Amino acid sequence: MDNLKSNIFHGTTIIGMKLNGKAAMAGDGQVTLSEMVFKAGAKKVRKFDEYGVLVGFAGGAADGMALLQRFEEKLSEHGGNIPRAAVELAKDWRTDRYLRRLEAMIAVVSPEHCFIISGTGDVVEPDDGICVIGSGAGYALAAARAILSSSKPPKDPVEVVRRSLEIASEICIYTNNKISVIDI
Amino acid sequence: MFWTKNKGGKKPGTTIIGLVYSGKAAIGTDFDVSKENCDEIGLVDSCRHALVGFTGDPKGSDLPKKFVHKLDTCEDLQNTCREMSHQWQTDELFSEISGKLVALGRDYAYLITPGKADRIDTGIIAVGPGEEYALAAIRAILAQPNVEESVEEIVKKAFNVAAGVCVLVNSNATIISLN
Repeated sequence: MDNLKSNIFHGTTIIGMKLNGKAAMAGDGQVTLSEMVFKAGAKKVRKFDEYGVLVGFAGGAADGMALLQRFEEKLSEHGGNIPRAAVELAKDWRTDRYLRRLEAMIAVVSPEHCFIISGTGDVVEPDDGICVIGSGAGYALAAARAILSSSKPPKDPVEVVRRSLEIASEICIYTNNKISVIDI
Repeated sequence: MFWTKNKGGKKPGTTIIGLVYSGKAAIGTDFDVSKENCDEIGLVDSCRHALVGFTGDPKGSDLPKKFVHKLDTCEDLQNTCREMSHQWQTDELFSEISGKLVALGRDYAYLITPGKADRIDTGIIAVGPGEEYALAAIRAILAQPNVEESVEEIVKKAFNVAAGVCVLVNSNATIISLN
């Protein structure tokens, strides 16, 4: 991930989470080209309505799109079974020697599952149901955990992801506060 | 973390989290003394309504005491911080000590390094390996509509969050407060 600096879409924060049978995902809108803010209102989160899945990507834009497309193909192959699709996607990197290393990551969230899938074939299911990717991931994760540990945590995941991303956008220079939120 | 950009690795050491909020202050340290670079901290509650913490060189473990002594003669926290940073830069005995000194009053927080005394207007100071996560956690808690936690609890929660995200932070923190 070291040479992300030269790519479009370097730096982004995506946070997705499942909470109380609901799922929400938020992404910022900043596209950074080395040291320039190239675009401020990009949409980096998508909803696959037919499978009830929220996805977001960070890293190289074209690679992110390629990863999303592969994931959607796997979803349709396996009848919308998310863990199966994620594992099958990772298997491709093991078996196909010619598969390119895609310099992007995607976060996948549904009310039952959440996964982080990287373009190099890693699949991670976070224990606490919070998926974060991108340059401000650590800040967003810390903020989300802090919000959930506060005395009156919000019941709606939409609220939690929005607030966490606002905090991340204040701290991370590659993340702005034009936040798009989607939920199921 | 593998899913973020590698920021070049972090140096192990003590994390200090300080918070000044609505006239109250709390400071904590995880006192994680690692053998390689033996970072250390002293925590002192002073008589002049200030809290002070130090992270860095073990040689600087006397700095908090010196700060409190200076505060007793000087009375004003801001001037004390300025003088301390000046002395740290110019005094031969002090100048070899590397580290950061955190001073909290009831209104403001100060971060003191050799030759520099910064007033932190947000009142949130975090230094050490878990700083960014602690900062995000405290901001998130303070951005809640009704903050019911005491400053001490907020600092405790920030340590828990930072320890959960960063391997170099110890959640078993020592926290003192000014009420």
